[in-house]
Amino acid sequence: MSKRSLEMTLVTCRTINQGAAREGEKMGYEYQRACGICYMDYEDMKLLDILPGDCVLVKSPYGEVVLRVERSKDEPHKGILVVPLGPWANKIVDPETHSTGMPSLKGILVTVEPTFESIPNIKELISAFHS
Amino acid sequence: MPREVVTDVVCPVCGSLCDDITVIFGDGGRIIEVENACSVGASKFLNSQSEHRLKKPLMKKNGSFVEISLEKAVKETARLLANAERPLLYGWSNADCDAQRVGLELAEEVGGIIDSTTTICHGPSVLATQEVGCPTCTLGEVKNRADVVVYWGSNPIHAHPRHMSRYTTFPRGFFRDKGEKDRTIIVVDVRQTDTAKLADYFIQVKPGYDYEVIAAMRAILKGYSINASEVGGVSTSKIKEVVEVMKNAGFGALFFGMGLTMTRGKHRNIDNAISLIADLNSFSKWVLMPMRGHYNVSGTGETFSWVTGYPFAIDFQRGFPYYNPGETTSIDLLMKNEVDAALVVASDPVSHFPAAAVKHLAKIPVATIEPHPTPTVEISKIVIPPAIAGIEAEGTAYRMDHVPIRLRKIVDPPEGCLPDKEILEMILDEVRKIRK
Repeated sequence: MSKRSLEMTLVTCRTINQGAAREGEKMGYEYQRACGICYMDYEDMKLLDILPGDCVLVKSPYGEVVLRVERSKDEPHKGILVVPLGPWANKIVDPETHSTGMPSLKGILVTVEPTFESIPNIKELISAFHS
Repeated sequence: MPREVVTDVVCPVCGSLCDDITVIFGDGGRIIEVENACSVGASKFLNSQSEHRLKKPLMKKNGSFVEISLEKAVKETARLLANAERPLLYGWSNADCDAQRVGLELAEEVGGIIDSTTTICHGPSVLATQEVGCPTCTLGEVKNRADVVVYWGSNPIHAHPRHMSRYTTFPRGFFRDKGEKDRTIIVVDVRQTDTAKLADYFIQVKPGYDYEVIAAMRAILKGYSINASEVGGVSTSKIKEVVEVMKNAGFGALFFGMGLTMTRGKHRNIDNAISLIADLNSFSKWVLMPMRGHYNVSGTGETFSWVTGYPFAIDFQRGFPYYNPGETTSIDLLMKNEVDAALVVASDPVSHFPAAAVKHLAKIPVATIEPHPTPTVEISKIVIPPAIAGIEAEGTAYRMDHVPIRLRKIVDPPEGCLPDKEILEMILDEVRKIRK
């Protein structure tokens, strides 16, 4: 895979699939399918030369995570990377609360690059907390 | 076999608390169909009887869970809390108000901190409300009166799927008998969400620039001119056009979500939004309401406030309730490695807290009261599965407009699974015995 990368703004979101999977089996594949993804504007996908279903490595100052790409139905939002709330998004969000108690879960600058790595499953994410 | 049909069930999922759900039972009391619910609500009812449901208390030994008796689980949880110096009691938004009240007693008894999921959803809204108030109303008033509805940083089609059809946009109201045709919908978001696609006016704001757009609206309302062609990525002419619609509303309602509370500005965004509503009341009748997520997160604010005077993040270590968001809020406590034990009730912080905060939670002993396997269950030392409130147990929950609604019990829980309140009362009794 080439060394292309893109600076984007991370915005976490709710989706109906994430909600239904959350009320279902959280330790199962459905939850990963609903939350281990990111929605991207087609213009950004062209810049990275990737297709829906490809994986990207998303890096922020707080961590990094591999996510599957889907073309956003809410275009145009060039430069905005939309990720459903969940354990995958939590790897890259800003824990700073600015004395409000609320971490910064939207508007975080991230770097996105194509990758051949696979998306971590929920058990791998949990075991990372113990390492 | 005749099928049993239970009507008018309250859905214990989101803050809309839809009360028109029909649940259909098949052989052996199994839920086979859920009518009127959105896919999230249906998923909760159907999964309440799924194979992966936890039925026995668990305790971790040598890295694996083993089944234990309820009495032992209660004793171990009580010991864990009573021996801790700074325990955190977190969650509560998927539990009924009676369980929350016992939770407060327990927090006081162990001198711990009690915090709800408000801390990572509408905590900033609470802070803003404490500063500038909150002109609001019930959802019934919105349904019957509102002719202009604004969703700001909120996508109810996905997060509160029946909100528009039951309360704000599509229903025919007493003074809005043509339903959707009598109403103007305005959506403000960083992308054209499925909610925005249904709107009459869509304002696409740059991420983190909500405060500026609200400020521009307030300036225009007060008669000032804006010396810029755009504010926060929105053309000034568009802002003026929307302000004109809002000024001429008969009854306007603004609903706001995480797009305002989680983004740059946080409580200041809400402060400004509430002030915008106050300004609009010089021209017309306007109200606003936060789009509460968990079905009883409003109830935590109500219960915590009428017992202690504070709505969330309450610290009992001094022997009296102490509240200081930024210091006594869960994320800040975990980021400072301050808590040494945790009781999680009806919530899944491992899935919803930033990873940096979860790292500390994974290091300390955690007891969890939770019916399903979740990432929080995985890191817990003790797990007690309860009866699910609203399906297997009765209780009271507050809708997002702070209207209390009685949850119904429609099916028996798995044998040995007690309601949250009863489990918490057993833990409280045990803690009192230890501390005597």
